[in-house]
Amino acid sequence: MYRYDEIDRTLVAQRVAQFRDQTQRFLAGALSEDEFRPLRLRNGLYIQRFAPMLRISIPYGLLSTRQLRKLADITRRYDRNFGHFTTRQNLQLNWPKLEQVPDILAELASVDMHAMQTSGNCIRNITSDHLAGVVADEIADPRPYCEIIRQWATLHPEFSYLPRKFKIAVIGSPRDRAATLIHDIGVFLRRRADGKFGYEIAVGGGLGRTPIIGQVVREFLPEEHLLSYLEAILRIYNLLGRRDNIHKARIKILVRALGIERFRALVEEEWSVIDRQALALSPEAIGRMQAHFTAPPYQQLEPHDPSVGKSAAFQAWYRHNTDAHKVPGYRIVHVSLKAPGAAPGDASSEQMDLVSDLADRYSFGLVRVTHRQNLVLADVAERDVETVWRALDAAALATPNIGTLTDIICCPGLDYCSLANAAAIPIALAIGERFENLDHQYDLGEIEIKISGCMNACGHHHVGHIGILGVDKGGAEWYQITLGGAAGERTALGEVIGPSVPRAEVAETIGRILDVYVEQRTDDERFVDTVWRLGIAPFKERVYANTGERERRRA
Amino acid sequence: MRILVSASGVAPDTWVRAEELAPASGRPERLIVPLAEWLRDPVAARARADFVGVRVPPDTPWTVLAPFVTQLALIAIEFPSVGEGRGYSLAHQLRGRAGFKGELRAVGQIFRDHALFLARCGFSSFEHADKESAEDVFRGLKNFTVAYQSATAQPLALEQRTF
Repeated sequence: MYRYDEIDRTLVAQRVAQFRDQTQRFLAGALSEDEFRPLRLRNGLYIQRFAPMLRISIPYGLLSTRQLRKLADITRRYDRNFGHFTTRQNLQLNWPKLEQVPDILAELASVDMHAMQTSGNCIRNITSDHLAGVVADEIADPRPYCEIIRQWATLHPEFSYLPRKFKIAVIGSPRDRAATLIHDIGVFLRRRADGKFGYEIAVGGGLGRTPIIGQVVREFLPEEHLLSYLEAILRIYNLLGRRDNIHKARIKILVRALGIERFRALVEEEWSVIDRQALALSPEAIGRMQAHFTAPPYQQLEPHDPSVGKSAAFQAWYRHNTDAHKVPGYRIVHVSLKAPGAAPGDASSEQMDLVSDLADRYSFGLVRVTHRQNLVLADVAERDVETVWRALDAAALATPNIGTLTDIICCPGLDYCSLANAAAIPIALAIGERFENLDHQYDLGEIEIKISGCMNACGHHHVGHIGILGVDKGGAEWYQITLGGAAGERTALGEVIGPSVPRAEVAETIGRILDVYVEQRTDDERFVDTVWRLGIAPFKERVYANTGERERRRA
Repeated sequence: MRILVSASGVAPDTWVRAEELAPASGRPERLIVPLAEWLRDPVAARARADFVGVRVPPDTPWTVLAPFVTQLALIAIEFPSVGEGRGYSLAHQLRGRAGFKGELRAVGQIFRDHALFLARCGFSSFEHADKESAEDVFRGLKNFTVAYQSATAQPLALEQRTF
């Protein structure tokens, strides 16, 4: 992983000092709430329902065990013994005290971590593939490019006060595991037919009130020009993005208003006058950054399947929670943060320490956060996999449900978030309870349920196979259901199936939807394939059958 | 008396704004006129003082100012709210594409937290917010001694990341 040098450390330390000064000025009344807000947001600090929320940056989801242990330590000493991993691969603390946040930032700085630009109208965390570097289908490891972009974007003097938040994702594999097309800029590593390496750049993706899938602004950009081209896009956005209405301020709105052709023309014109050489990435510079992400010292191991002849429980976990590694004899291990009864994506301090121990012993000291709110131990030798499983299982981290309908993406929702219309976590728990039976889950197969407590869509509901959106209807919590969204091999926005349903009926509604799937599916069809084949009509019909009777029962 | 901040320190403003000009005073040495007045009649505006500048709103396209960069001694870009970010890009374009070499000033509610960003985008001077002293904003220029990017201008010794 990227190793900080003196420049990095100095920058983070000076940022901590700056934030300490900003907090003191606010607490002393020298800054109003409105004046403090943009400053604290640029350090990931929200004021939430019960307490401030601090969003800590985990660049492209990669953590050393030293860092994860420090996060565990911080959750113990400054919070309530748990943290929440997010859909942008960051960690959120839900209970820090405002006056202690500078101290927390100082502790983070001691392990080369920070909370810079995890919120506010600036460039946010650069997210990526949780399988970067270990999966065979990759064109190249995206992480060196993520780190280059991260540094370029950090405290950028020209782009620190954008019209709105700006999210960039980089993927190095033809299979998009980072929801790249729902980002403001999506960078796809590409190798041209003539062998030249570069990027396909998409722009204007985003969720929220106006979900839009990104469009290609540049089909092929040579490797060395990454930063100058991003600069062109950001400058056009900074100058022309709307600032009169926060719901119309993302770059997706600008791209839609101008049309992709006109937007591209503006970007290309701006790019034509930028000094490309000043920002060009030489092969040496790329090489130096790649050197931070070299492969760990893998051993020469014989491939074998450690699940053969073992217990059904281990086999189920091996089948669902591990993936093939590109190096023979190694396995990618997913750590499920979706145990029954647990808030999706939450990990306790003890669990963080345990995962750190396992990573130190069995996975070269590194841990990854996925945008689906789970963790990954990416480099476990097959011969150690069962040992790892037992340890995870004892800590409730081995629910064998990766990719099943209980592997739910879920925002914190009304239980924590002042933006929310409705609770999200209880919905996830109710669905988990209804479908607790693992055999039933496996029969239903790959299903991505994504839950957001409000239109801000932090739970990515628009791109769930089943999307659930909390809405406020007359002061009560109701939920709108969408079907057919995706952010994987294909990016698609879900379709609303009908009127929202009350909280108590959501799990049952999911049940009805899945009944239709089971009745209608062809042999190997996944749930979402059945939806795409049939459209939403049969599902809508089943969900809203007997609506009159149910309304009478509710009244 | 308006105090301004620059890379060299704080100093009283030697420029007068057209709207603040007392009717009885003589021809000012340094005068800032609103952009609208300049555009109506640049020749007349230029003749109002030895040195003339314009004050422009943040959404002014650089192309509007480009024809006048050799005539204007100062361009003042407004930052009407704490979230306003267009001026940074406009400054970059004025220094770059337009080749403006005069004084580039940031006006409005400027806090110490913005100072270094402004300086690195090419601003030569800034006002300070009512709540901030000019000294505090000046000290903001020293908030960071390192940077990840090269910038339009590097007024202070900043150690820079080179890729």
